[in-house]
Amino acid sequence: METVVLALAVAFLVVHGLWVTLSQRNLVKRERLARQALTDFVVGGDRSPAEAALRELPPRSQIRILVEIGRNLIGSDLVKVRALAGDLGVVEHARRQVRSRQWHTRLRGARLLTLLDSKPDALLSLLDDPNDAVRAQAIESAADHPRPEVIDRLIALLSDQANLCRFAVQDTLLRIGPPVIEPLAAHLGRSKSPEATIALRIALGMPDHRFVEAAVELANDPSAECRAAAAEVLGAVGGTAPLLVLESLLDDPAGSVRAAAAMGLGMLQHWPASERLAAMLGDRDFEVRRGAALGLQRLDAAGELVLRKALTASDPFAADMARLVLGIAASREVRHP
Amino acid sequence: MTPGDFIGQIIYWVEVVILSYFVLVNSWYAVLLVSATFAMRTHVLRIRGESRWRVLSSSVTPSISVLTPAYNEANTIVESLSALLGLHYPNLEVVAVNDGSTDGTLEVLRERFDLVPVQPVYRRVLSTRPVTAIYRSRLNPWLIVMDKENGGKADSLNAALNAASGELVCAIDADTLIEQDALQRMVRPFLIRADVVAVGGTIRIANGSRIQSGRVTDPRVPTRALGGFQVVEYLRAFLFGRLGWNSLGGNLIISGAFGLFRREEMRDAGGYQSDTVGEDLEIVVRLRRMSYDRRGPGRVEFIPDPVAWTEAPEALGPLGRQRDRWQRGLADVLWTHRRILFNPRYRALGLVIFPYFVFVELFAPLVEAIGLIGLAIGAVVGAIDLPFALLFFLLAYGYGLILSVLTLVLEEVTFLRYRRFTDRLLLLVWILFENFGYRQLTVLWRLRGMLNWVRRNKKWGAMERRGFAPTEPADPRS
Repeated sequence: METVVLALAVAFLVVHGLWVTLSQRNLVKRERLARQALTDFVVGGDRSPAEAALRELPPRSQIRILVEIGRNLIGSDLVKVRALAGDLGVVEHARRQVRSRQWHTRLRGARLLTLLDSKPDALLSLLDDPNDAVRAQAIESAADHPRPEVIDRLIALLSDQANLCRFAVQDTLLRIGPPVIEPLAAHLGRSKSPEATIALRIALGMPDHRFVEAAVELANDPSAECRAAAAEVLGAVGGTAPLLVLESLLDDPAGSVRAAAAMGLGMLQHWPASERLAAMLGDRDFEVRRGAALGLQRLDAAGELVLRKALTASDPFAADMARLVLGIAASREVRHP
Repeated sequence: MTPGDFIGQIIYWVEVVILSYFVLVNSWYAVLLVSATFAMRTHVLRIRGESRWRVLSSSVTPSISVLTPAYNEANTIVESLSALLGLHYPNLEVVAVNDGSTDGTLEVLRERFDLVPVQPVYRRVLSTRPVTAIYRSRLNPWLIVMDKENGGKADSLNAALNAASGELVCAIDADTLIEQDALQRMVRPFLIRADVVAVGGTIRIANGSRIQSGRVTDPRVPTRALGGFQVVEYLRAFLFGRLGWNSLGGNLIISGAFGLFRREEMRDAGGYQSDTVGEDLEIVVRLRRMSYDRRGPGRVEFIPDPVAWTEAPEALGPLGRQRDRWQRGLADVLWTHRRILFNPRYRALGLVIFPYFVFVELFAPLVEAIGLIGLAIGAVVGAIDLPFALLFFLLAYGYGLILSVLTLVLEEVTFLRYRRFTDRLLLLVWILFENFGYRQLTVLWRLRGMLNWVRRNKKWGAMERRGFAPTEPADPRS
């Protein structure tokens, strides 16, 4: 039995190895010609040599070359490659694939359509796919079709069970940009942590005054992570209401929230808070001390003055943090309490 | 019954026990291979046609700090750091730690990367030997160099962990060459599952391959026997050993040469332990143990497609010292965490994975040595006949041979890194011959390692590195 398995395995290795070597030798040359013809077509050459060269190849090679070149194109050049892929039957093949029962076939089809199909319907139907990889691929493709109903659907997917899909949604919403702000602000207004925390992180990537109302509300959320995220958004957006909320968050029981509020006040250059930030340099939580020091640093001259005063403070934590932020080398005695 | 018959009976039954051990171990290997095949199929289907462009250009991709300790690496450090700085990953920081080198490593770095002293604000969560200075490169601002007093590899990694700002940290050896897209591939499990704390990638042997600008541009199978045998060993260990464990309770080993971890979990666990030579195994065991104790995340995964290349020792002395060290490290870690063994509180870790490492990885050389010596004595005193001896060899070596060949089949139908047919044939040759001499030598080295562990020897042993100098282009006729 052992001998048979061994013999079969060795035979497979030899035969497969030989087959790969021989078939590759011929294919590599034809693929090189097709790649060249397609590149010529994209840069303004004739379409028929590219089409002919691609038709000579097996479907797998056609797809490989179309994807390889299409991935690097945008605008009218990509439109040309998409049209050629359509005529070669690649797009239709991919549309059939996304209707497959097998998740991996749907995934392959979705990946092809993301690049080569200009009509989003087949892909967007996969936003409800039971497989997370397929769903994430559909989410990724939605960035090219930012219609209001698609954005609403994407925002609803922020609470997707799968980590991969939540990552894909965050990325896609950030890529879409300004059209997302209004619906995201509305979503923030009616959501609580933990979904709200993810939404706040997206808001932080495109700070806008329309997020303020919801962020002020979420600054009272029971989750410290959510309050910290709200403080970051308020610090990035600015305005009178955010300043008041950020000042109140300096007394938050959670260190991460105090640190975020301190950094936010610094970002907004709110110098009247410098005394409170100076007091926070002695906080027992390292992140709060760091946030306060960096906040002070952002207050420019006023903040630097406070930091220099802290260098001689009786509290070694405050003095050390001030020294670190001012970039003054430590003596051996005061290195990192 | 004469005394001779009595001894013969004892030897016979010892051999039967050892034979049963080999049957059990090889059957478990077969289970691992089947598990690895299924895991590989799912993985390949998932990554086929994948565009990592999104990960590469996303602002929400987790940031990574690559931690690279260096002790007397003046010959290789510039090449390795240049390769690391050229990795294709969006939010990347490289933290190199000069661990009190005496060969001018820091001077080489200062000169090559135009380093300037900086004072980053970071928290020393983990205690280490004093850090004397921190520099940032003016040429590559995402390169940080820490200069510290000598404290060993674990101490250097802890110093780097303190200063690292990435959400994920990638611990690598200074002489490891990571493929350019490896981090994009390696980050996937962290995006897929929130409970992943560590991910390991594949290590391959670079000996004999063509290397240019810190990249393996033409992977070749070494023509020297020692290098070739190690290629086979690494393929077996990574492609079916570690991959197989993914769906059988998770991995216990992530190679110190190439692993990606969640920074916060590493810091919470207390970082690397300095008083063991198996610090890479120890941190993974601790992370997994901590996940059960604190009911937190603790999944450790291996994925086969991110690849790092390393230089394998090609002389018996350094290779023996390396294997001795690995065995000492294993014994040390398993002893430190002995409470996990058969402890139902740790579920698969305590009931399957840990016992496997104790009874197979740790004791296998001992059992194999007893088996071989018993076989020889048994044959001399006539207690063992020829069919029994043949059965022993078939189970001990023949089965292993099949597993090695099947691993090669797995490689052939998936990644096919060695593009030349002749290279793959050469691998078959090395698979065939590793059982004659090399395997027995590794048994001896591992036994020596266990003996040294009992004597509490915690030395690393000198390794001679030739460095990855750019190799001459291969002969086009080859």
